[in-house]
Amino acid sequence: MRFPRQILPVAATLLLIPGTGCYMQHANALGPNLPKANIASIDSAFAPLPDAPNEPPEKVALGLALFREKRLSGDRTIACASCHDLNAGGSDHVALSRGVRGQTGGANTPTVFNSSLNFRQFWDGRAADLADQITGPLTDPKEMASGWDQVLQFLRESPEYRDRFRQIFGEEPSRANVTEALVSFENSLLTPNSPFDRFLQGETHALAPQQRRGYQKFRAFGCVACHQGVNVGGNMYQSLGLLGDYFHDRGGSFPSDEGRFRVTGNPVDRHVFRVPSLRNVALTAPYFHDGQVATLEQAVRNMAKYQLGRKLSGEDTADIVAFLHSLTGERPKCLEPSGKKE
Amino acid sequence: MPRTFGEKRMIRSNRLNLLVAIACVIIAIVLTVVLVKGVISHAEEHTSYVTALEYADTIDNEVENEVLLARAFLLPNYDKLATSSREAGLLCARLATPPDVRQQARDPFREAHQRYCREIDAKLAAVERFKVKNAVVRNSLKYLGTIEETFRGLPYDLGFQHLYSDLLAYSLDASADNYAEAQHHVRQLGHSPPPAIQTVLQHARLVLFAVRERSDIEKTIFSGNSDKAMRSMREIYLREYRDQESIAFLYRLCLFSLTFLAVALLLALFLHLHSTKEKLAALNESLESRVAQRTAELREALSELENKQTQLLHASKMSALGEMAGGIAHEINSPLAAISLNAEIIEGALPADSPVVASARTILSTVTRISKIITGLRRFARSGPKDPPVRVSAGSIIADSLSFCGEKMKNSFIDLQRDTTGDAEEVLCQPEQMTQVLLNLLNNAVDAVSKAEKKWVRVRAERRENKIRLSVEDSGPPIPSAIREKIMQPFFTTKEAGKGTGLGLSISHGIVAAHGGKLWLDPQSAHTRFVVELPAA
Repeated sequence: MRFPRQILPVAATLLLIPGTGCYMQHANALGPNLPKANIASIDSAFAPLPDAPNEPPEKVALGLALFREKRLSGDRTIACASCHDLNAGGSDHVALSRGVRGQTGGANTPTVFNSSLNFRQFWDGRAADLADQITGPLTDPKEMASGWDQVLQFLRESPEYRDRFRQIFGEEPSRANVTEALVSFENSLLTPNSPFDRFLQGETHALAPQQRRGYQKFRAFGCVACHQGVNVGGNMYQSLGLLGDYFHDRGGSFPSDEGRFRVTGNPVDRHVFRVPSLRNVALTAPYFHDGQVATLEQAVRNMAKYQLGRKLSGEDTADIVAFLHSLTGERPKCLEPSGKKE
Repeated sequence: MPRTFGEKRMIRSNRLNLLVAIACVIIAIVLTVVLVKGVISHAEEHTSYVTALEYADTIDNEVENEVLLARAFLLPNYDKLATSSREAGLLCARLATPPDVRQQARDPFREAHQRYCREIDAKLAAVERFKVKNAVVRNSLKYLGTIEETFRGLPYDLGFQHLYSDLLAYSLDASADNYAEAQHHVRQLGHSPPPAIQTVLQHARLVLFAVRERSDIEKTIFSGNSDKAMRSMREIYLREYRDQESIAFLYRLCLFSLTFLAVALLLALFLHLHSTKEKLAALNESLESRVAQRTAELREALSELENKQTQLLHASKMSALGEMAGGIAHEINSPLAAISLNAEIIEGALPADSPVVASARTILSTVTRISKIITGLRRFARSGPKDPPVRVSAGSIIADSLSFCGEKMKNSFIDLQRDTTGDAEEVLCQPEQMTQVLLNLLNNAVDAVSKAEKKWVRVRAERRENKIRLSVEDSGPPIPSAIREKIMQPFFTTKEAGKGTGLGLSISHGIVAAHGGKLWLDPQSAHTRFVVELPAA
């Protein structure tokens, strides 16, 4: 008599429980936090640089240290910063950079500044984003000739790095958090407040009269058809040599001449490259994927000739070059001494 | 008040029930929270996935809109197009994992999703190629637009104007007719050699080529394949979700019934427990009162038994004594008669002043006393006449008794205090015997007060429930407690020698007991108070 009397409420309650739960029908399920459609301003081809993202300073500092760390390379001689010179325009001033054991790379080094705003990475756009891009130079036998195993082994054995990773990520160095640190550093490498940006924000006299003339010509001649957007380029592909055979005129051959064809294997993509950003272009000579053009004037004339089918006058060239100088922004804040935590 | 065993057990079982109930409630709350969380998170997953589907569709449309905007010669919007493309790519990967798709629907869904991703990839690749060609078209048309003025007034002006407008028309509508028109003007101008025209023709050919290519690319972009793929993917997912929902509905219906049943069960159980508890409590209470009643009854029975035993002992003692006394009385009566006769003869034969006469008189009075004692003994020994009892009033019994001793009391200056309140009460008895009893008591009282300062005797009758009490109280000194227990014994007397036989009280006691009553000395009284209690008629 006693046993069933005490087991009954238990049984009844257990029966009762699943029922109650199910009546809390899909109560106010919140949708995912999806990004809102960005209403692009269609009245301007350009947009000023945004503020640098709010990355944790310790993580950015770690990314900087990794960026400068030569011991990540195969023979411990080359760091990211060896070719992406942070004291120049984020790239070096040679046509083709030299990797480990003095080997030359396949293409001119693009700047690392503002690179987070490019729609794809590399001249041929083979990496979707910076996280994707990092493995490229790290493992390229002509560049750093290293590998993730080697990099992680080094970082785990280094007491200094191990402590910093533990402090910031609460774990050992891994491919994911090394990438995260480098990307957050690179995301911070924006060069804001160029005269052009100030001009876009309504400060008309930020551009000199010649620069304003250059801006007009830049738009009128059609440069803007490819070099536009927030990064003044870097948001589309284009075929090099639409109205002239650049490669024939230059002579010789470079491994990177094939362009996107090497990625897609589609013949229509031969000589198709990612349009480079023109921000800080005055600081990143030499120019083009092969680095064969030494001056900005020559680069402008080349573009007019091969892409637009125009022969520019000396004045037009000077005006456009003057405008391009207005695209040089401030040094990234995270590279300023006050921004460093070392 | 100490708790009985049953109560303790009930309290313990109540505590256990309470603990079990609390444990059940806690388990119920925890499980409900877990379940509700599960249901909510499942609903959230579903909503989130459906939102992602909708969003992917929106992004897909947005890409198409941006392409149209870019094509319609508005300002470049490739940043926006690049962002939308990237989101479309990311969403594709995200849509690969819908929440809770059953085995049977998994393969069709995976197929549809793969098809969708293929379509989206193709579309995005086409968009990139579109951007290339569109820029080319834009630039060349722009070039032709800026060079227009340099041909003013020249012979090629009209041809150029025709070509330019044809190219514009073709760039807007890539129809075969427009192409043929433009191609015709290219050929016409082609016969003219100037280098400026050569550049124009180069641009024109570029435009013609690029527009044709762009139009092919647009066919891919606007094929609606990704839309179809999205629709079929969404349909498979939603059908699966609806199917699952209808199963879940049945499941919930069952659970609802079970819940209802369980609640009813629980309620019935609690009601049953409650009523059982109350019954038990009532039972417990009545049990206690019954036990108390029984105990009282038992105690009464016990005391009655004790009384009976005492009476029996007394009766057997009395009967033995009676028989003996009867025998003695009979044996003594004849010699006593001879002694009395002879003493009278002696008295009569001698002169009145002879000292022997006095002795003879002493003999006579002694013999009288002896015969009195013997009469008393005989009365005591006699079990009493077996006449049937009659109803008489207490007052008549008292009055009869007083008729025997009233004169004596008056002579001794004893104040008779007669309380007549209970005189009307009736008893069932043998009146002569009861009169004898009362007379005994009154005689004792008269003797007791004879030396007291204040002389009074109080007689009264009263009713106590179903008993009638006759009491005789006198102003004499109280009976010392040392002898109280002996006063009922035969031959016990405190009167001076020769005055009392010591049989009065014991005879009276016997008579009263034979009537089913009691005779006792009231211990509460400050004086001497005897009480006769008889059952009321």
